[in-house]
Amino acid sequence: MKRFLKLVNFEWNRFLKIYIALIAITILSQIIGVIVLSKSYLHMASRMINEQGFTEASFLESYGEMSFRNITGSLWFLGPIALCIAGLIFYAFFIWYRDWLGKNTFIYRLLMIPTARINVYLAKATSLFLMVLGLISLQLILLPIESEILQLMIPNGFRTDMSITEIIVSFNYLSILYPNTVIDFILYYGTGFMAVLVLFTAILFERSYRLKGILFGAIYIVLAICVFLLPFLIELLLGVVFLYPIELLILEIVLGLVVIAMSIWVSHYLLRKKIRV
Amino acid sequence: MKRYWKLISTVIIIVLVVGAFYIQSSMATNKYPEFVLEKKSGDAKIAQQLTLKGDYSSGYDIVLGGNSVDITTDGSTFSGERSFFERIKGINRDPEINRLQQDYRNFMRGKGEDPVLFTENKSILAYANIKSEFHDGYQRTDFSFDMQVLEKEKNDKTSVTAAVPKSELYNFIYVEAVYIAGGEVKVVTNNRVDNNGEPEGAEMHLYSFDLDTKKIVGNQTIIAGSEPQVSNQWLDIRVLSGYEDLVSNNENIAFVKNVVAEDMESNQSQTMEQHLVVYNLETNQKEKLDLPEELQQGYNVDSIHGTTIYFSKIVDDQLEITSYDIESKQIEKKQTFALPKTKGTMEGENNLLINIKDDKAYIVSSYQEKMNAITVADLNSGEIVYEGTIGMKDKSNDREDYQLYIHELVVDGESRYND
Repeated sequence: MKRFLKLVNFEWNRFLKIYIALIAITILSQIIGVIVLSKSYLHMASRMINEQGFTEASFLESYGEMSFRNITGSLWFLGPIALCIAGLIFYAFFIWYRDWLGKNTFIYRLLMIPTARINVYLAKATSLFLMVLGLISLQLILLPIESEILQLMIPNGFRTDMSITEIIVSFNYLSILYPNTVIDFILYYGTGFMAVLVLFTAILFERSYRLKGILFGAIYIVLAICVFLLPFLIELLLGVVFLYPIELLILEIVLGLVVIAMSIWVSHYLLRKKIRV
Repeated sequence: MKRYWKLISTVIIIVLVVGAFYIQSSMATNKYPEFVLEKKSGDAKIAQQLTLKGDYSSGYDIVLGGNSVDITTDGSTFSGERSFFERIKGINRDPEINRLQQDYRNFMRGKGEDPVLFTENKSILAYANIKSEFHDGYQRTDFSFDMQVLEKEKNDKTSVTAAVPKSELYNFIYVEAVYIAGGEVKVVTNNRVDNNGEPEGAEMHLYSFDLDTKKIVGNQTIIAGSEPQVSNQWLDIRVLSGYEDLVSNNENIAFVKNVVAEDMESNQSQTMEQHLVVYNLETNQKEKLDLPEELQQGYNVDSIHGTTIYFSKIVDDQLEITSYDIESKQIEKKQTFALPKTKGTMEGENNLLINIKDDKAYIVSSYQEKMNAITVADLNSGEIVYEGTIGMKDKSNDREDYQLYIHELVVDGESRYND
């Protein structure tokens, strides 16, 4: 256990610099975005009212009030989110491949550590997962701050205030990241964790068998998907809905755990016997 | 431990932030308004049997708008207030279906949740539905019956499959009701007739199944019609439900065919050309009713209870309910009741939800801005026995602008929908 935590800490610190950069970009882009968008709205309002002869009421009728919705749709807001998603997906691969780079491959030393090699696998998965959770927490912290800035900048009649829950519910991407209940949260992110483990297993196939390994890895991913979606596949083939919803939920949880166990077991085997440094 | 500070602090932040978010959002469910059925006058006991199911919408409220809600004399429950597991189970289902799924879990597995497909008596539970093949990706052909009967005592299941006779004549067939009578299972279907480019026709069929031989032993076309050529008119052809429970105990069922004309401007619909056919499930006799002159136009046929058919009509500000006895072929009674006060954009019959049960008429103004009203009238005495409205439990917390659309009224477990 202590080795595992040390490895997690190690993986975490390795990525920290880039992680902090992503966080900084997100904070800056979103906050600057709120300010810029608010200012441009005020600008337009003042132009319409003072120069173009709109009254306050007719301006509001034609152009609408400013609400947080204008922010969540903009590139200032979405750009850093997309960047972070891309960065984490990239790192999901790079977290492994970086250890094979260079002359004195680091993976050699990692695998020589006196601990079960599976801890390396689990540590990488855990730290990647923590990175994801960290970023979504960041967004949760930023939302009320940005909302407050919006409220400070735009005067009362011209804006519609939205609570955090309203902001999340009204925007597709956010409502996926922050599901309605805690149970949904655990289920969605648990499935995400399972997906990371499956991906890592596929990567290990490639690192063990090189070219053939890519094929094995792809086959493994397909296999994992089939196991996880087994009830739906059966329903599709037989054309009959057989399970009550709650039974389906329990079955899916069980299948998810099966896929997780399967991935850990296969990776353990690959790390011990087949990996090529 | 010192070297772990970055990791530990991140984990702590994650737990705090996500935890705070979900704690806050679960407390925010207290922001749901609490509606309650309030009595204005009459017998409070009547209201206690009622559950009104509706949809809440409010322009200002993004989170709550679009939520469905159940309202009783005790209070209201929004669909968002239900627990995760209640929502997985699906609480909006018909209470009868819920009971059947509890009592006969394996039999009900994989069957649709439409109560019209089921019927039961003391010894058996029957299910009937229509299956078809898809031809060319859009046309349905090869209609066949999928029927299953469960003998409750022995927990014995029998399956019957049979092709629908003359299946090639039809575009679509769906089951409207299933009955058990005279030792047979009878299935009422609405068959849409393919008239090759001409307006579609419709035939109401009654197929009788003998459970011993597992064959179709009867096939009657009870009533038939075709879609009118006029654009604002449509054909209304169906079996009347007495809205009795799933339990088969009606001897007489009624079929209606009429043409409904809709006035596009006022959104009012007018029933023209009313035809009714009564069918006795025990004797298998059908009889076309010769309705008195006055019932032939403008009256909405509502339901059949025993040997009485109820009609409703809105005259000025009042609702007139007429009962007609099929044996004596006479109009028995005509009762007129003041309509619940409505304040909204939809007037007239489209706005009313009427449920007749046990000689009482339950009338709800369905689509309403803040003032849905319920009136319960006794059809024997002609008196209004209860009047009530839906209001906020906490008066001080009055919301700005909302609309409640009541689409279903449940009286003691038996639902009625706004068509």
